[in-house]
Parts: sequence; structure tokens; C-alpha cells
Amino acid sequence: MPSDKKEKLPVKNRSFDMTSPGVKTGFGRLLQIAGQKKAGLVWSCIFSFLSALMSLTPLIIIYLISNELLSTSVDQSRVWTLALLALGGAVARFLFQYISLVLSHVAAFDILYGLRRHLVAHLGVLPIGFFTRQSSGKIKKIINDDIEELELFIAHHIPDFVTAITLPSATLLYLSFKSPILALSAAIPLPFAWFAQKSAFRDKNGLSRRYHDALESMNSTIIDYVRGMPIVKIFNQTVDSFARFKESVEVYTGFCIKWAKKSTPPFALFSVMINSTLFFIVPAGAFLVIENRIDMSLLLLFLLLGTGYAAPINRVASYGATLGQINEGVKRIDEILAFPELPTTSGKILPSSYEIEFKNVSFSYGSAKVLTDLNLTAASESITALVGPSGAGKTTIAELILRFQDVDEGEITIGGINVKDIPHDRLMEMISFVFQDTFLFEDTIRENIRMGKKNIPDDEVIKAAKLAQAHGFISSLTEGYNTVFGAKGCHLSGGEKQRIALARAILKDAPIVILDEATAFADPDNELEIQKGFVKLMTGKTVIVIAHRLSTIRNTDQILVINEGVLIEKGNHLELLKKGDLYKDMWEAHIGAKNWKLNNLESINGR
Amino acid sequence: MVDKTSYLIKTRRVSLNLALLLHILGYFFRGLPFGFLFLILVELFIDRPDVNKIILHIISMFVIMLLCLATTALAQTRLYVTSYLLSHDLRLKLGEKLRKLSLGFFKRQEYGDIAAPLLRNMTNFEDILNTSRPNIIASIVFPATTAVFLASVNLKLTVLALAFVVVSFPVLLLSMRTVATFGNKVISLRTVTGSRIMEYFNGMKQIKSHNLTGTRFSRLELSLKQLRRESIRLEAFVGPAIYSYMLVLEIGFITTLLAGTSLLFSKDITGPMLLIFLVIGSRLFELLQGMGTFVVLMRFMNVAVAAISRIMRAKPLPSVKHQRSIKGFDIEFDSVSFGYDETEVLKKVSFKADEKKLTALVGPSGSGKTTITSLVARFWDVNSGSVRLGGNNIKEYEIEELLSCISMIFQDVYLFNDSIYNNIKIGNTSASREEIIAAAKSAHCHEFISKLPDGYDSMVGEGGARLSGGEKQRISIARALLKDAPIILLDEATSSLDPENERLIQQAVNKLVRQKTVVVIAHRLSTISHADQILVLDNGEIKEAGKHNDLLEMNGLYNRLWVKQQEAQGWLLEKSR
Repeated sequence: MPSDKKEKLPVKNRSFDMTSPGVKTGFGRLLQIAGQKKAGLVWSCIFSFLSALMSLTPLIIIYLISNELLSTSVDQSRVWTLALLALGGAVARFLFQYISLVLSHVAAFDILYGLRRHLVAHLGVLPIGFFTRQSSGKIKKIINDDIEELELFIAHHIPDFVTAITLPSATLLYLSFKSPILALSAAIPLPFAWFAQKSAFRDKNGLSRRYHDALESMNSTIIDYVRGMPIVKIFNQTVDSFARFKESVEVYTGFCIKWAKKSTPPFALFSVMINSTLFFIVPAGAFLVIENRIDMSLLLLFLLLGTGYAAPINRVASYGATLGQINEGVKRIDEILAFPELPTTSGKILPSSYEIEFKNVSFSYGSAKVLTDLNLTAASESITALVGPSGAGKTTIAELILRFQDVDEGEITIGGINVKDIPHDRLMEMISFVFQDTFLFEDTIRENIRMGKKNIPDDEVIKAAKLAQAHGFISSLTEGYNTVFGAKGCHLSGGEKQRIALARAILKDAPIVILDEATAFADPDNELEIQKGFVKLMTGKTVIVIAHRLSTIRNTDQILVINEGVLIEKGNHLELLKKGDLYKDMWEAHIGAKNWKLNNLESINGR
Repeated sequence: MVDKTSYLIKTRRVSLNLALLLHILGYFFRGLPFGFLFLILVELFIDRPDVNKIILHIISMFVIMLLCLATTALAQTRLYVTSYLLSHDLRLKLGEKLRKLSLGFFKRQEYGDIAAPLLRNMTNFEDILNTSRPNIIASIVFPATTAVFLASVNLKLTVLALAFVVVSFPVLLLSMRTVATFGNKVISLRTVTGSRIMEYFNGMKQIKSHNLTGTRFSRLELSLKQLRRESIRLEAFVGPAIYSYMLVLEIGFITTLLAGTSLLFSKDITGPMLLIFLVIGSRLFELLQGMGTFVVLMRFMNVAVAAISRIMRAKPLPSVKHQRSIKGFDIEFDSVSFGYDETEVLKKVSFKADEKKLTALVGPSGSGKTTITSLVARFWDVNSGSVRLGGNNIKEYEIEELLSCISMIFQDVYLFNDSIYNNIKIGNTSASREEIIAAAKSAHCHEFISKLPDGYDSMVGEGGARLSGGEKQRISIARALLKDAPIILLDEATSSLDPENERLIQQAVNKLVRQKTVVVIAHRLSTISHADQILVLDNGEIKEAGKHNDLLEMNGLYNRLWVKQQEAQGWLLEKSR
């Protein structure tokens, strides 16, 4: 598929990479992520600061006007000029704020987009074991919601923090030129507020962690409650199940109330203090006026500026709690990014034949050993069947060939070349994998067969569908090949999905075919059609097939019996039956299961 | 907004209103010192100020500040505590409600959508109650009372200032609408992105094997790009609207200032009056400007309230007036029609499943087999016709009693994140440990359970994730054996199990169905070849009915299905050579 090569490779961005040196945690990590768009954010902060300054202009102009009014000769035209200036200041304030907003959001959403792409690309190179251990809901939450939370930090917190620090400082500085004593008294509430804020969010007994634990436990209980409700209802157990649910809600509420009682009073102190500068300016101001050390208009200036300078601080006060939440999200993002990728190869070797060989392969899944010292060979253009009880390691064997994971010990070769030395894209091109449960995308049937190869003409898609016995039912869909799967009215049966998967594999026409339980059709009515498709698919290929329905594989070239990760028997159907070991037992169980009849009469006993 | 929440808060209304009152009182105490400031300024403007008076005023201001601190602390604590208590009440109420809803309610939607009102939406609701709502109320009440005070200082200026407030409201409404339009786009894009991510995750094996990882999975890449663009557009369009609202208020303030100045020239107003007007006015407009943000936030919160209300208002199955007790276990469908929406899934279906007999439902997928079993268990009520059990319409029984007679074996088994022991015990909570182990033995579970490190006390993980499909199936059968209900609704498993597992499950099923009234959805016709009655469904209608041999002789749909399956049975995986 030459055209695909030209497409961009998965986008990787080193500063998101958790394995590169210099990755920080906590607040430093947030700044590091935001640092992606430094220029935009710096400009955003500058405009945010300018806007904050402009918000002071009407107040300063009131002061200037009152100066004018209180003087002996009033210049009316100067008053009007000042008023116009105030108006200009107001317009400039919002204009600057808008510029800041746009700049910070463009930066933020660029970063979010980049981070999401990076995460998606990273997921694409993780071993498949990662996906079986994670829930799709969790990953969706991280990419969708946790990353979205970063927008708050990048686009709002940063400019707001900058303003909350610079504006009060600038105001107090300006005021201290006018009257140091008054400026000082205007600043009195700040240490109190700082102290209050600290104690509101101080967490001595790990209350916050325990709160999160209670929240998580309540959430999973609620999900269990909702998911299990059908069962609970059928067994008339709603009372018991409700009792569990109720208990978890009560524990959580208990923590919330404890937290609220602990931290709301200091937070109230903070908000009252930050809004109480007036009380400290007035006594000092009144004294100074009476002593005639300042005039009324200067007092007015302090009343206007001195009461409002702390407003930006007010806004960032509650960010403390949000910041913790954002950090939690980043931690989860970084956990995924820190998950080691499958190593990529620089090798350019391509096999010239397609026999598959496992040499002393061992593989563990966590602490559980799945395959132990496994040796096997699947000859070129032959059919090899893997059989054995559930959990024996058959699927793992199949997936190791595609490097969905890497072996712990030993090596797997295709045509004598280690799969790790074959360029990954080329390895994928040489194998068709038909899975037990067919996954279809919410896309048109055509795209579902084509699987990204845009250069393949429609008639080839149709040809493949015909060979897979899928053309008939596709044509009967409302919009034929353009029907979007999963959309209204387009639901396919298990057997129909299976035939789409088959068409995919036929179209791909890879020299190696792996069928994992692909013969376990969801509706037996279609079995015959599907079987015809498989014959087309397998002809002239190296085929590895995993099957529970042993009758379907009794004519394969080679049957490998796997039990607990070890190859225990090898041979063709008749040889293995003659041997009389596990395969024979399985065969008899299979024949029994096939002939089983459902029976509700007393006289017939089990089977 | 306030109205929509009102019925949700009724259990704690008094407590909540008290907290709100305290909250408003706190705001009032925050504003009251300005009155004293006014008095101090008046004093300062006269030639010889009375220092004692000023000191008295200052002391009063500090007393009020302390009062303000006390009321604010009290109000905040009460608001938070009450909001948590209220969400506690609502969670329990929703939980109670879910118990009463029909099973159909759970079958037809994603469990995530059902759970969200108890999780994220409820947390949002807490925020509404303890932050947004009090602040909105305060920023209406506080300016209103201050306006009264200002009006007593100078009516003309107050009217002028209020005029701008009135003008600002349509602009605020406009910005709310802009938020709605662009916000909805972003929200729906986020949903799309979410399902693309799920696709990417769930389809990873296919994606990998077709070289479609990363940006090459263009469906996700495209929606990420669109999400970025629309998110920026939302901010870029909403910004001007909200800033216009704020600008109108700002202009109002400046205009008031100018008008005040000219009033001062015409001696209609005194210096201290104007000053107090400006000091208070500046704070007042600031508050109103802040309200813009809250109102915008509230729109998003509406979504949460709507989700909670949706479940609160869902209708449970109608209760029975004259309830009967169940005497017999024959099931009869009398010209039953049913559809989930406009399209009918069952069309005038009539049949009788005799007590202790085996009735099999066969037919292509989508023919209505599952719907029939769902109607027996009253997941839904029929549109027309009736379903009878023991001669009476099932609507005349208490739903609990009806369900106590029925065991269902589903294809997808859900186990609770609890021990194996408790998962089996659900079948009959009064069962002894011996009985539970006996049921596990009958269902061929005992062997694998004994191998687990904690035996019967082993936890099964989320939804039973730590067990294999075959093991979960067998536990669900043990559960049903323990329940020992006279009616068994069975959906024959189609997913592939290894021969040993399959055999054990088959044996367990035959124990379960012995001497019961059985309705089975059959996929492999050979398993039900000696059923007492086979109903062949197609497109919501019973096309053929009878015993296996009779149906074969009819040479119709059943015969075709049978021949097809027999051919497939003989199939071998091999190449065409």
C-alpha cells in the first residue's frame, strides 16, 4: 500500500515524552506542558495584565476628576476629556482582555490537540497487553476529560495568576508613591488572607486522599449497582443491593461534610479579609485627612483603588482545589505515557518465504507464565491448528507473531528472520488476522472492508465482499456499501460481521493468515456461506488457526495441542486420536457437546 | 433555573433557604460598612470633624466586619453541608427509583448514561447548590438592596445607573445564546471524539494489524482537529458577547460618574453623596459583571439537572390494584404486538407454552425471539394483546412475585464486584453455605472455585472480569439452581467455548431445566430437536409451529434452516486443492 507510506508517521512530541529526561511532576509538569506554546501564552499574559491595568483607568480618572472638582477653579472641558479617556480605557480593557483570551485559548487548544495526538500515537505502539488490562472508559476519560481540564490551567489559570500577582503589586506600588502609610494599611489584610487560604487547603490527616478514596469507592459501587440492576431485580435482591449502595453514599457524604466543616471557615476568613481593605484604609485615611496630611481626593483614590486591587486574587483563590484535580489528571496522562512502547526496529530485512518458527519462546503476563520454552514450526503454505483448553496460551501464540507483545525469551522468525528485525509496517502487511469477535468501525461498510487503504478501487472491494459471501446482504442494506455501520437501522448479525472481517482479510491478501476462533460464528444460519469464504482466503497461504470446534480442523496439515503454555502433542488428527491423550479427550467432549440435546424431563439424566 | 431545581431540593428546602439567607446576610454585612463610610465622609467634609463620631463609626465598621465574617463562615459551612446532604438524599432517591423501574429501562440504554446522574451530574449539582446558585441569588439581591440605598441618596443617578443595567440584560441573553449555540457544537464533538477513542481502543488489534495507528486512524485525527477548531471558535465568539455585556455596564458606570459631576455643578448633590455613589457604584457594577460568568456556567449546569430529572421522572411499571397469586406456570401469548419505537417487533403473536414443557424459539436474528422472552419477564408491557401466566394476565401479579418464578440465563453474564460466594448467594439469600456449595457443585463450578487462592471468598473483579466466560456462565447457572424457579428463560450461548467447558455447561443446564417450564432461544437446531414445541419466527411473526419432525415435513423455513446447519456441521477447514 504505497500511498500510505507517504502519510505522516505517528506524531511524537519529545516534550510530552515521559521517557525523555527532565520530565517533572506536579506544578512543574503543568508549566512544562504549557511551555509548548510559550510565546502565545506570554503575549496573552501581557495583554491580560494590560487589561487589568486598564480596568483601573476609570477609577484613576474619577480621582483626577474629583481633584478637578475640589480645586478652586473647575475646568469643565478637562472633566469631559477625562471622561472620554475613561471610556477609552474601558474599551481598551475589554479589547485587551479579548486578545488575551483568544491568544491563551489558541495556545491551550493547540496544546490539547498536540497532547491528544501524542497520546493516541503512543497507544498505537503499546503492547496489546496494555489494552486488556485497561478499560476503554478509563482511556476515553483520560484523553477526553483529563486533557480537557488542562485548558483551565493553560488558558485561565496562567493569565489569571499573572494578573493576580502583577496587578495588586502595581496598584500598591502606585499607591505607595501617593501615600506610603495608606498603601501599607491597604495591604494589611493580605497576610491574613494568605494565612487563611493556607489553612483552608492544608491537609494534615490526608483527608483529601481519603476523600478521593471514598469518592472512588462510591463511584464503583454505584456503577456496580446500575450494571447489576437487571440481575438484582430478577433475584428480588434490590433491598440488599440498595443497602450496599446506601452505605457507600453515606460514607462519602460523611467525608464531604467533614471536609466542608474543616475548610469552609478559614476560606470564609480569606474571602472576608481579601474584601476588607476598606476597613483598614478608612481609619488611617480619616486620621490623615483630619491631620491635613492628605486631601480628600487622595482618600478617594485609595477608597477606589484600595478596595478593588485584591479582586484578581479573589478569583485565583479557588484555583487551589481545581489545580489538585488537574494534577491528578496529568498524573493519569503521564502514567500512560510512561508505559514502555514496543521497541521499533531500524532493520530493513524482509523475509522471502513465510514459514513461521518459535524457538524456545517463553512469555509471561504480569507474574503469570503463559508460554514456557515453546518450539514449533508452521511450514510455508500449510495449515497449522492450535487446540487446547481455554487459557492454554493459544491466542498469545498467535498474537506474538504480529508482535502485539514481545517474547520474554527465545525468538519468533518468519522465513528465518526475527520478527523484531522486520520493519513493523511491513510485518503488519504480511499478516491477515481474523479475530474471534469482529470489530467494525462506525463508518461505511466500504471503509470497513478497505481499512484505510484509500487507493483500492471500489470494484476490488466488491470482489472481496463477493468472495466472502458478503455482497448479498450488503447490497440489501439501505445504502449498500455506503451504509454506515451502527447508524440507525444498520445492525449486523454476528455472522454478517464475520463475513465483513473475511472480506477485509481477502482484500488484504497477505501471505500469512491467522484465524483466532474465527469459525465460532454467532449465527449458525450463515455458517455455510462463511465457510466458502474461508476456503478462498486460505488457499496458498501459511495458515494458523485456533479452533475449539475440533471437527472443523481434522483435515489440517498439523495439529498442535497446547496445555498450560506447553506444547504437549503434535501430529495430524488420526495420529493424535491414536495416541489417546488430551486431544482424544477433547475430541470426545466435542462430539458429545455437538450431539447434546436440551432436555427438561426427569428421566433423562444430564448426559 | 431556580424553578427547575426546586422540586429536587424539597427535602432540605428549609435548611437550604436558611443557609441562603445567611449568605445574603453576609453580603449585606459586606455592604453595610459603606453606609458608615458615607457618614465618615460627611464628617470629614465639614470644617471641624467630630473625631469621636468618626471613631465610633470606625468601631461600628469593625464590628460589622466581624459579623460579616461570622455569618459568611456559617453560611458557607451550611451551604456546603446542606448541598452534600441534599446530594446524599437525591442519590438515595435515584437509587430507590432505579429499583422500581422496569428492566426494559436498563436494557435499552448504556449503563453509563444511567449511572451519570448519580455520579458526575450529581457532583455538578452540588456545585450549583453551594456556589453558583447562592452567588446568582446574592448578585441579584445585593444590588437590589443597594439600589434602594442609593435611591435614597440620589434618585436621578440611581435611575440612570439602573437604566444601563436594564440595557445590559439583552446583551447578557445574547451571550447566553451564543454560548448555547457554540457550546452545543463543542459538546457534541466531544461525544464524537469520545466514541472515536473507544473505537480506537476497542479495535486496537484490527487497527494495529492494518497499520492504522496514530494519525493514520484518520477518523479520530479528524475529530480531534475539529474539536480544536470548534473549541477556539466557541471562545472567540462568546468572548465579544460577554465583554459587550461588561462594557455596557462599564459605560453605565462612567456615564453615572459624568452625570454625577454635572449634578454637583448644579448643586443638586453634595460631594460626599457623589463620592459614596461612586465607591458603592463601582463595587455594584463589578458584582453585576461577575454575574455574567455565573449565568454562563449555569447553562452547563442545566444539563446536569436535566439528567437527574430524567430518571426522577421515568415511569415505573404501573402497580397492581387487585393482586393475585400465581397458581400455574403455563405461559400464553394472546395476539401480542409490541415495538420499542414505531416499528413493530412482534405482530399479533399467539402461542401457548405448557407447564413443565420445553418450548423453543428459532429463527433468523432480529426475528423477535429475545423480545418474546423479555415480555414474559415483563421488561416491557405489550402494546396490544396479553401475556398470561397460569391463566391470568401477568399485569395482575406483583412484579416481584412474577420475577420470583423466573430464572433467566443470559448470554452475557454480569457478576458483582464481590466474592464468588456472594455472587451465587444472590439466587437465594437464605441459603446455607452447604446449599451454596451444593449448587456450585451441580453447576460444575466447585472444581475451579476450589483452585482459586481464596476459594469461595475470591473476588471476581469488576463485572466478573477475573473469570473466564465459561466460568461466569457456570456461576450464573449455580445462581439459578439456587433460586429453583419454576420457569426458565434460556438464551443458548453462541460464543465459542472449549469442548470441556461447553460440555460442563450443557450438563449444568440440563440439571437446571429439569421439571421446569422452559422457553429457550435456540441457535443450534440440533439441541432442541426433541422440544415439545418449536416456534419458528420470522420478522416478528410465528411462521411455523410444531415438533421437529412435523416441521421438517412442512418443508418450509425450519426445513431450510435445518438443512443449512446440517451442511455446515460437516464442514472442514481446508484449502481448495
